Amino acid sequence: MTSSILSSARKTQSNDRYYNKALLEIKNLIVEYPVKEGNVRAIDDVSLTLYRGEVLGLVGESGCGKSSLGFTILKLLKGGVIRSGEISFNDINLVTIPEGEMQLLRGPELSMIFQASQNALNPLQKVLNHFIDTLKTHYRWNDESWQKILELLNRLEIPESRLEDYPFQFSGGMQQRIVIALTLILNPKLIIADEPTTALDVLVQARLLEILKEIIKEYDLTVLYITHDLGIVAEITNRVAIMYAGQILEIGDTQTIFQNAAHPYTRALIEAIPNVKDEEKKLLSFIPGHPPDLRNPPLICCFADRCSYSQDICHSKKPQSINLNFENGVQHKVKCFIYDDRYGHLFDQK
Amino acid sequence: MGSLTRFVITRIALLIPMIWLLVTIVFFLLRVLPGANPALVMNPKLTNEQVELISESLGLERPLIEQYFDFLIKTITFDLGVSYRTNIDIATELGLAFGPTLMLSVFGVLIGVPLGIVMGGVAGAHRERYLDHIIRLFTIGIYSIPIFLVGIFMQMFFSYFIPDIFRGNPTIYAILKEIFPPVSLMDAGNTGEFNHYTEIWLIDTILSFRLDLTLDLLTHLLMPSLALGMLIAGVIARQVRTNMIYHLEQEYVHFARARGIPENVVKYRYALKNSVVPTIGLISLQFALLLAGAILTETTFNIPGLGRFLFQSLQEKDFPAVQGVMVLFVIIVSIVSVIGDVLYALLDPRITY
Repeated sequence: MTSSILSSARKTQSNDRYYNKALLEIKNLIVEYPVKEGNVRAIDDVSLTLYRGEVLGLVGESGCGKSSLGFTILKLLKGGVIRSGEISFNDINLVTIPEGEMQLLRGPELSMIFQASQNALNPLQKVLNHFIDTLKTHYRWNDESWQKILELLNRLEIPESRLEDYPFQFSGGMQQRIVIALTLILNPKLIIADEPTTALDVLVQARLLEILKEIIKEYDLTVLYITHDLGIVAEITNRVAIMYAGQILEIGDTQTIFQNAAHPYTRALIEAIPNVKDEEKKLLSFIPGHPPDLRNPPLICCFADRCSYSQDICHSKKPQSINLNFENGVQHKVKCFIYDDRYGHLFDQK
Repeated sequence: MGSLTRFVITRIALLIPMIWLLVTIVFFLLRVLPGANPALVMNPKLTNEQVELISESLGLERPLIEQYFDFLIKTITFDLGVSYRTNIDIATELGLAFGPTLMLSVFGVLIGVPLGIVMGGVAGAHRERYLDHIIRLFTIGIYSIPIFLVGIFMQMFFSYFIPDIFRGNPTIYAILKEIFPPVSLMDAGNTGEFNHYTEIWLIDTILSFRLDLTLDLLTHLLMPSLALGMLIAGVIARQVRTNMIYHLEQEYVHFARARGIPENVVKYRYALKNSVVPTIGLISLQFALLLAGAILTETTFNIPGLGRFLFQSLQEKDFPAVQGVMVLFVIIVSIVSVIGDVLYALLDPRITY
């Protein structure tokens, strides 16, 4: 069914390379945006672990809270409030850390790659000065810094001669490379990549993904890759988390998710990938209905209204996260009553 | 930079048709306005012969088109005629009046622009918080109160009420009286005591090595410049605040923060610079408006500048004088707006021509 994607998917590497040392641990995180009518719950009880050296895809529709999660980790959330939960990065609790210390962590420890579609770079500043400002914020400037910039430019195939140019003089793809270079120049341990290739055309996107993949390996980066594009997920990630209405509905090994998606929402997402070879799937399919209103959400399964498997139980209780076991041993969690031993029998007739 | 040089040259070359067009409008406007024929309204006691004599001396009985070309040729040589009121060559009058106005405008801008940028930047960075509300209230207030009222209030407070509080202490009283003189550009009698090289007295007093007079001049300029400065600051602050709010939402601001760049740098070096550069057009326009005579301020503070000259000429229907002032305004506003455009192109690399 998903062979077209899997054919391009990289083979899952031996699991023990990853999944032993956690770099980032999020526990029961709740983030809300206070609005006039109450609170919009952008992140609803999210628990997530990022292991050193892995690329975790965070997939979801627009407005599901994936970008909010990225900004929350960096503590740059505008207008949002962390109601409860814990974000621990390298045993530092980011929720309680003072802003002054957090600012020092941003850049050399954890950073974010932005989508370079609109003003990701200061329009009145030369590209070189972006690098200089970034480096000078965290390190003393010396000859090595200069070497570092040149090396990275070379690595990302940005011509050195263009350092004196202003951002508006670059193409979208080139701007995106500069954005990536500006993030990498500080050698961050954790990178949150928020749809970095979405605004680019497919060829530029493919080349950039290729470079990104190589760099992730070379620099031993841990990446939280936020996207809505399952093709990119198959291309670049080791594990995937499926986010919906502020919750993580399923998380597991990328290959397993594409082959054996457990959650009905994940299955529907994968079904929705068009396939030009398959006559039946040439038409774009979609999931009927729309995501629930996040203002004061009811305590039921958030996908129940759109789920083709839903039973009464789904409309009366909130499902808990359940561990599934697959033979490759990677932890796989899903929030659905179908896999709950106590309620599974209710779905037998389907 | 080749394109920039070309742009500057083009803009300067375009000045000539622009000034010609505006001067033409001034000429015809002054001739179609009610009361345009000054000879008819000057003095009801004039006899017909006298009126005709005046009309003839102004060439008003000739065909309009002939008058127009005559006017154009004379304007090019800066021969603006003779004032009815003072019987002095208008070009000379304007030369005398330009100095005080220039000083007032420069100081007004020097006070108003930084004040406006700081207020706008702080208000934008503290959006919808106390500082923002206070600054917005101030800018709206200063903009909605007529400038002459602000001037009068300042004169009342700084020249009378506040010194009066210190009446018991003669030293402080004298100093306050000295710093905040209520009117005019210099203490009476001082104007004759230095060489008038340029008629820009600030330069003249320094060139004449009379720094005591420079200081006297500066204290006299303080209050009117402050009044004008606050007015400009209000306009600029509102514009900068709006731009600031826009720029603080931009991706580059978030991205800079994500790289750990300190908040002050992000706000006041990145966002504020981006917010200020587009206001250069506004600033140059404000400056041009000031140069074109802050009529109310100059009248309130009794400063012998272009504004007061225009006001007095209008009152007495001094037709050639009004026309001369208008021609000068046209030239000033055109030149300053070109300077503003060039400055904008220099500061924003995205502007290419």
